[in-house]
Amino acid sequence: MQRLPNELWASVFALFDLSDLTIVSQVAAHWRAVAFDQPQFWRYILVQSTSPESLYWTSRKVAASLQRKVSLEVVITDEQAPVVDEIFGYVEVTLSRCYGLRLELPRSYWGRLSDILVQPAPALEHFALKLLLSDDDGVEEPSLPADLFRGSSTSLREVHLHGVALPVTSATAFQHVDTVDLSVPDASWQEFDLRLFDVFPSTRALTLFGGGLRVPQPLPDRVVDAFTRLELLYVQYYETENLVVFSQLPSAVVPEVSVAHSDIGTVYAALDQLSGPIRLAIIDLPLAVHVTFSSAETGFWRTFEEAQSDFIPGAYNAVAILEDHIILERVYLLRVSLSLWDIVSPFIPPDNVIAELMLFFDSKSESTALVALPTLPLKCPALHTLVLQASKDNIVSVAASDIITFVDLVNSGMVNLELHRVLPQGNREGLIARFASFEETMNILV
Amino acid sequence: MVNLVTSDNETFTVDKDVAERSVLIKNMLEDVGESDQPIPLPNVSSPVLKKVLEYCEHHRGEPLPAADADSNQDETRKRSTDISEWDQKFITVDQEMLFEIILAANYLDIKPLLDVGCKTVANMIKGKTPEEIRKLFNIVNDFTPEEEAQIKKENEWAEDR
Repeated sequence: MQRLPNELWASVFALFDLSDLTIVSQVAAHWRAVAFDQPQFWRYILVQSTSPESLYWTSRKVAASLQRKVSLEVVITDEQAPVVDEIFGYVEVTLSRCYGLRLELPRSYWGRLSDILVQPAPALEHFALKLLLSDDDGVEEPSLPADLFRGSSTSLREVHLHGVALPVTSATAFQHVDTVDLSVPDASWQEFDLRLFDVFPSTRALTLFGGGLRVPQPLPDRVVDAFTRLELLYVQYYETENLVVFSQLPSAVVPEVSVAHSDIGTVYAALDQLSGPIRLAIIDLPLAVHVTFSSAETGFWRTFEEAQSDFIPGAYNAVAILEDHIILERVYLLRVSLSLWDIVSPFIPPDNVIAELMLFFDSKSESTALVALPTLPLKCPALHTLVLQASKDNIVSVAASDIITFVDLVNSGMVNLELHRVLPQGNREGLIARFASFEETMNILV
Repeated sequence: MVNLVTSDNETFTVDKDVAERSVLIKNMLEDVGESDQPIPLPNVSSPVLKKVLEYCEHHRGEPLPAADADSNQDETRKRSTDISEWDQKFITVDQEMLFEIILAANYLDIKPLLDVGCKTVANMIKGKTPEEIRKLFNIVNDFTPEEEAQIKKENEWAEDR
């Protein structure tokens, strides 16, 4: 009987998930060694419980990882489950070779944890720390030690902090961090810490999350200056609290700003930051509808993440902003998900200046059969180009006759047609004759 | 044309682009340059090479995977055990031959064939108990008492769930 060497069994086991690996690890001693050596067994270590089983498997994984780089996540949110010594031990023995470290623990363990986190972590790239507040904890958030990771983490690029204050003096460990996420529990106020950019001098993408933001005024020049270096600002507060982002933070200089569901006042404030004609995209994404305004002059954009429940017929409608002619007079490009067309189109007035209309086939409209185009009319008297675009993992087929019927509803004149990842079926010649020009690609436009 | 000589001294004459599905042979041909010298393959027997060449013949002209394809593949694709219809039929052989093909694909460095072989073995294993897997591959349970105790614990936990 021909036998395979361990190296080839390893190639077979590489195809297995954790549960398959557990089965083959119980076949024979040499298989057990090969199974536990698979990166998918040890590279990502998640500890969510202090049960004997969880501790057993965690120690197996830590042992199997040898001296290789790992990602360790400890998420113990249950106050009743004491965080045992073993768990601090896992953090301690892997810290020097962790590339990802996420710790989510009750705040009462901070003293213990902070002693470990001043050890070197030269491999660290992502660090997330969430301290959970219990009723008997004080109001004051504990501060990170200035000698965090003994300043060794030169590859650290991304930091998420929740319920923990910035170090009192700047931490060497954060010198190169470009992605910063600071959050507080969603029912509480977040104070804008004036030391933020002193602690994180390389910040390019900043995320702020909580119930609302308090910003000391006036902001010192060095903070205002730091905003000019930001590329992305992502904020999630309560609906009316998002206005602060545009009224009290110097956000006008930030190319990309994204906020959670917002009231009309916030939308106005955001649009004031965009000059000239505007492109508007209303796209149905898995978790939210993204309403994005972008300036043709600067390329800057402002996105509002709206609840999908606002985009079903009859619901209070977030698209109410579209009733506002002041906004719509500036929209020269409109991009809409097919699934949202019937909700959006009635809001567009007949005297709009839309020159380019793009219908986007998101995954919801994915189908192997022909995709039907909307029948609800939207007149675009200024239309220049009609674009049909399918998402990147999607190629859709549409009847050529449907495209003609659709464009007749929008604009009876000769306009240009672009199809991206959309295949016309049927009378192709008729389709080409109906348009001033016809372009077809498999590209993904952003 | 290229001449390949198997371990049992049989010579196969094949098109260069078929033989070059094997990175090993491709490199050897590059090293020797233009030459009619036969290439010895002491680790491959004639029935196995015949089978391997059938695969190379069918897939001739297809782009060869990049040397660093592994690192580029995303996890889901790597874990997929889907096999195309032709490959599926091709690899429907007895276990002895299956292992021989895997060993030959590994030695000859034919990554796509090695993948098909490994996926086939993985599919044979999936859904079976450790005991069934031992029977399937005629593997002896050689655990130490300590390992046996570990496994007993692992299984008790699994049953509790």
